[in-house]
Amino acid sequence: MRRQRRLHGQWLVALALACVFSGCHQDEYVERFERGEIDLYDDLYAATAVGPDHLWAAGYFGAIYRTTDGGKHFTKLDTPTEKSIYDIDFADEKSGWAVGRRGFIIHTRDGGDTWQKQAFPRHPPQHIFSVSAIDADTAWAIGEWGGRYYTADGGETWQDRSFLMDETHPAFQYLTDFELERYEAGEKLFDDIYLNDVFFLDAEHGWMVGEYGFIWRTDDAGETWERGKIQGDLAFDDLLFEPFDEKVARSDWEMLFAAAEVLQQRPYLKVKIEAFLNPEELRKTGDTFLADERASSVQEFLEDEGITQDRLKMVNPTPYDQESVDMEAFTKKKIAARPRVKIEVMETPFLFDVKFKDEMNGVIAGLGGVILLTTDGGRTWKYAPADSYQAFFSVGLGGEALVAVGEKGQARLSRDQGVRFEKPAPGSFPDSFGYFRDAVFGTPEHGWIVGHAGNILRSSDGGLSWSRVLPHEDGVSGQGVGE
Amino acid sequence: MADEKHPQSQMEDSLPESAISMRFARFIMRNRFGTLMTLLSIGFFFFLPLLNVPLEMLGTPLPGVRTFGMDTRARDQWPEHPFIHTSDKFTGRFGTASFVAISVVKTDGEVYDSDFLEKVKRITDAVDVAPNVNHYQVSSLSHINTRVIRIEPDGSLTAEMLMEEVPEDEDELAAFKALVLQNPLLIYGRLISRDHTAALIQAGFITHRLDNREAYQALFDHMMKIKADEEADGTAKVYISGFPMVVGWTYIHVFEILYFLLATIVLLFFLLLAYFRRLHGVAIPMVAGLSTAIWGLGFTAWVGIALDPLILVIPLLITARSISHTIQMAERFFEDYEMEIDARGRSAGRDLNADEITDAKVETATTAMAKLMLPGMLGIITDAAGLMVIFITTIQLMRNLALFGSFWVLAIFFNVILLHPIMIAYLPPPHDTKHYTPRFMNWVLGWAGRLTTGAAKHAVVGVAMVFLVVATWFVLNFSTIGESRPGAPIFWPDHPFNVATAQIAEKFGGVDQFTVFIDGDQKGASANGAVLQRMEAMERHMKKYADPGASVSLVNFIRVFWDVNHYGDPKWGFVPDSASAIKRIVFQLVSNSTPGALRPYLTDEQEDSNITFFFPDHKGETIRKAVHYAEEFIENNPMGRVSTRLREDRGGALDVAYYMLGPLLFAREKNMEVFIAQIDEVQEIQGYDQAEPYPVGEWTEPVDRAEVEKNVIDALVKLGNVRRDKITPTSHLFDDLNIKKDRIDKIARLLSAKFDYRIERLNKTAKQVALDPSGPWTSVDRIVEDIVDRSVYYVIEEWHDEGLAITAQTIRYCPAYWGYCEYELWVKNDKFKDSSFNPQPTGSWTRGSEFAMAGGLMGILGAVNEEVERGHVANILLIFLIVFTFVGVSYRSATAGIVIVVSLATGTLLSLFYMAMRNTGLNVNTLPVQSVGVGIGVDYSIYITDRIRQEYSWCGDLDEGIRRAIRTTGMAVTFTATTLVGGIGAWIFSELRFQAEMAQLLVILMVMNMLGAILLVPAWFSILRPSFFAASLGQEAEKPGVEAEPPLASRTA
Repeated sequence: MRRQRRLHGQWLVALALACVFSGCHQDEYVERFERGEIDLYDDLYAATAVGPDHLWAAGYFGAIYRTTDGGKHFTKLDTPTEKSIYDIDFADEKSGWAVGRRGFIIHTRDGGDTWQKQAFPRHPPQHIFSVSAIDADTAWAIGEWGGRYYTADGGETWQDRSFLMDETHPAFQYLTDFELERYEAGEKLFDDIYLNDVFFLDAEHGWMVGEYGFIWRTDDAGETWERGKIQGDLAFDDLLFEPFDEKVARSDWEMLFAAAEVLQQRPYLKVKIEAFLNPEELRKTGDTFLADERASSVQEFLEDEGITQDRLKMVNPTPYDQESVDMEAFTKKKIAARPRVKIEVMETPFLFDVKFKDEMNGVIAGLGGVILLTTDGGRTWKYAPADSYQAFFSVGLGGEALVAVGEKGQARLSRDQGVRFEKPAPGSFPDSFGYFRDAVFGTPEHGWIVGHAGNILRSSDGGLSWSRVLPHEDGVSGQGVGE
Repeated sequence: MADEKHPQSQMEDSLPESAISMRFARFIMRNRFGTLMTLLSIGFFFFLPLLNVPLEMLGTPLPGVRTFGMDTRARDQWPEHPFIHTSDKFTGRFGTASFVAISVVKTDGEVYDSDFLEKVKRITDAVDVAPNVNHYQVSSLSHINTRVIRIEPDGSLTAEMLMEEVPEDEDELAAFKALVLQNPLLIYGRLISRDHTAALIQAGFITHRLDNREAYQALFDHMMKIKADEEADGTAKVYISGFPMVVGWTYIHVFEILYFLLATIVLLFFLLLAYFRRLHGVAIPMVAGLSTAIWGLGFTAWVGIALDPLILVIPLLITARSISHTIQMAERFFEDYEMEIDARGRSAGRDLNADEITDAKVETATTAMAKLMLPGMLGIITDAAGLMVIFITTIQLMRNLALFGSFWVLAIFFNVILLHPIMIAYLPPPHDTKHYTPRFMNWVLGWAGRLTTGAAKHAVVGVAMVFLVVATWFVLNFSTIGESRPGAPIFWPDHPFNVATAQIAEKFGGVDQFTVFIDGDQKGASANGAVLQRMEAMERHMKKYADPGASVSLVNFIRVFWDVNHYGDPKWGFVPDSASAIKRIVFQLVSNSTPGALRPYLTDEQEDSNITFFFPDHKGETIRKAVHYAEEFIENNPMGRVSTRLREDRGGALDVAYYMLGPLLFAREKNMEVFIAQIDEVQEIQGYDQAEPYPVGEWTEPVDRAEVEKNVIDALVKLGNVRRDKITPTSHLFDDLNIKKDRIDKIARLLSAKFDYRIERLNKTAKQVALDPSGPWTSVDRIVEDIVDRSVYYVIEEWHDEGLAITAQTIRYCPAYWGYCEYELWVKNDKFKDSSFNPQPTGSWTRGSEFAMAGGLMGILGAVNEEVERGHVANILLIFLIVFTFVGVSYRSATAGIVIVVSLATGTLLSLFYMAMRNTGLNVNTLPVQSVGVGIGVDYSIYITDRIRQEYSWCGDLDEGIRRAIRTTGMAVTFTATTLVGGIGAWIFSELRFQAEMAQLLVILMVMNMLGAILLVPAWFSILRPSFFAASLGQEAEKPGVEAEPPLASRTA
């Protein structure tokens, strides 16, 4: 530290000597924080707990906080990065990984006292959003651009098992010439999907979730992956039109009003609108624009009822550039026996977190208050009512309750394995208006929730009640109030 | 022998006729009419600028005569310092600096109350129609600019007004509160206080329209009306802070200065009347004071200085000094006149007739003048030198003060030492020859004489020395540099403005800003991931160590925007690495915001940005800490691909000289440093290599004049829309060629960029040079001449890199050791559109971006405090050196010099001790006071010393001489001090703390120095018995008629 003076001592020496005084006072600025103390309360994105007392919470600017005494004291660990750490997972009290921005991977074998950087297998590096440590040597990690990575040697080498594009991919037709050239030259083309979370219950059984309602499951240690399916309970009848009518018939208004209402209640859902015309209409009009008019009519109706445009996807509109399209094939797709408009619900919620209690029972949290449950190992999923439109970022599986947490401090508890999610009872959950990003349990009784500005909550009763252990109310750095 | 024309004084203590002072006095009195006329003529010359004030108002100013003016300019209060240069450079680039903050505090309960929110809405609406308000820079709960961005469940974004309608029922209020709490960065904690009891309304104003008193006054009145209206129902308090309010309050208080001036004059009149009890004693000092003031004020006008009303107390004090010198003269005259009349009466054995009385009066005035010539001159010269010493600061206000203040003091010699005896000669003789001295004062001074010559003198000296040592130790350890209290320094802490500022600081986390700039080298340089990530790291470093209440920069917006663009997932709340991502975000932010919404954080061309830290106060310690940690971070985190900077050659003995006299010396040598970044494969900076510039040491050749002329004319034709045949070498650009200002700017920039003419100055862009009305850009001839002149410079060193396409030069425009001629860094970047050499006002240039310190109130005060610290130390030491030299040489005695300096040091250190005890910070206000205070103190000591010398020469007993000096001159010193204290004492109650603290410190200094002069100096002399007194005894022993009997004993015992 550079020394600071109150007055410029060196020039006052002359005066000081004349006055026979004791010497110029110089003082230093004392470091406000000692090594290991939490200096700034950073946003926390992930946590991993082992047993009742060990917790590692990781987040912004390379922050990892650790407690080994149930939250009484926290230590800020030294990490070799200023980048965000997106996830952390420990296989036991000693061995674990932390992953983050730009392919950042670090590994510890001493409980976090020291960390070693590990090589990311792709170039350029991509964000890694989640890691699941199966044992001291084996782990899976996932991230953006279809990123899926695996190690079986403690991270010495990470295998790139990312999702790739090939001719069977539905988006293959949209590739640019440059991308096609690369593909034809044998280069890997990574699938443009964000995977947000990976969870392995054991070496064999694992699950991944991401955007567009993507859910994958494996029960053969990741050799093969199968898509999980969201079973929605919402479907709409087709709207029938009189020949040559463009507008929705008054008799269908009631049905559309009802559809709009239910879509309002389930804001995470989107719908596809596809319109058809009969052969006679096609013959007389010579094109398919009449079908487009019908689809637009339905779209405008729903928009008028408050459904935003981006939730309404028009399927197969008549192309403007008809020369480059096989119009005969296209027209065939637009023909139906009776003129009608089909409204189909899309089950594509944005999913943040997946956890399994055992091989069969699991839960997913997502944008728009989505909570999905499965009882068949993740093959099929159903929505659980949670009375929220706001995002759930994570669900913790406590011995007494499932705890869903998300943006703006919202939390929901379910004591019946997800049949009903309710707001926590007054006084059982700290008030907060910042987000909570992760909820984990080290034992069925001992759980942790981490979130914005260094917030860490703890439960010792299986998730029924929670109290804040960090930041401490009197602002003492690193001092928790756990048991 | 007595002169025939000038009979020898009948007094025993007359000076020999051969003494220079006596001969000079006789010359002046012999030619008193001519001298008077000369003085009146000079006085008239200085009166002309004052006369021009009313004449100018009437529209008929005297031709060729400057007009006296008063003005206050904030920039003049700032020193020449890298922080200030940086602030100057960025002034205006980030939108307005004129913000007003209004805190509406609910008297009971939380703000979630329909009536209260209605009140906030009313105030917001009223602010939105304030004069010169920038509607885009109004923020409040109810303003259209304040929007809540939401991520809808399907991932779409919406931005709705926070409070479109005032919530009416409990449900709506609860929902509103939840909404506030969900938006912590820009709403909760910023627009509503964390304790939910106050709402904040902020408004920016169009700065260039706020450039006159009327505009400020209108805004101030508007704001005060809002306050009065909305506080009337008693449900809320309204606190208003911000720079325009400071100006508004200052205008109010500056007018109060006139009352204080009047009060001072009246007080001085009555004090003089009470002491002298005759017309001469009142009229002569007042006339002397008035004429000195005319000289001083006239001088300020003639040299082009506008007197700053904020430092009016110093000129007032100087005027009071002239009165004080007159008192010394008058006191001596009355004292001697009484003796002279007595002596002549005794000699004649009868009452004197009118002619004899007049003769005695003239003779006494002459001898009094001669006697006080040495101490008077010495006092005036040390006073002037003391003020001149202030010139070593780089604060323009202080340098102006040094210039006109020292002249004003020198004017005392002419208006007091010369004018006083002449006035005596022309005025009728005083009727009452008995000199009045208060009995109480006689007793006190008699006691002081005995104290300083008896056994207790050792105790006096001992106690003073203990005080000196303790005070010095305390001052060095516990003095505060800069402000020790929050709020505007020119007002008192309980002033409504400071109360409002403190309230806003308490509720909303601080209003004192410390700004670090990010100086980019080209468009888009600051909208870059690497730069923003360094900015964020700096914000964290400062939060970690310097503990600001909050910080704001573009980083906050980028993080929030990136987060909401990724489904509101907090994991995306970071600054992306890629420059293109940042540019997209900035584009989106600019497109989706009100015009200018990002301007406070990022310039329109995205070249420069800034980080503003908000601190709860601007105490010296807070600023030092902020500066320290900011500098530490910048040093350890260089940015940019290539960095060049000039580094001053520090260390060695020259440090002392530069510390003491820096601005008076030639510019200190600076060397160029060049650092080139080591970039890794992912384009991150891993470290820096240092490159070596090579020495050049050559003057450049001037450019060809004819070619320059051709290019200038071509540019005028091309960009000025002027026909070539209209242009002559002497054509005036505006008057003859009618070229518009914006065209002139373009012409200047074209000539600079295309032909690499060095039109720019270190602190002036080509535009500023071209549009400066007093600059060279008036005619073709002058432009050509300027360009040719500027093409000749001395290149000290140069660095060039072909691959990087950069050339940097260290140059000077005058020979080394040619006064204060700055070392300049000029850089040429061939990768730019303007690939000519450009000057770097901050002394550094970086390819990419670099941090530049510092702006905001705290940045400016950081610079001011450094200068104040140096100024105080250097000033005090220099003035002591000057006093020692002057006194030592005048009396040919080092002991005399040391005794007086130690006495002054005791007074000075005790005054500083008092300030440290009171936790009053040393600031720009107290800087001149120390100099002036020492100047006054030395007067007292010199008058006493001289009187001791004279009395000793006549009585032969040093202790008796000391006692007589204290009884006589001590009386004048005491009266002078009390008059001055009385005169400026009223200023302590000024609403302007700036004035009041100056007055307070002056009062303390004057009392300390008075006590030093009548107790400490005599006690030291009584103990040390320096030999220069004996030398004077030797001189006087040769004088005929010296009597052993102390001449004053019979009168004053």
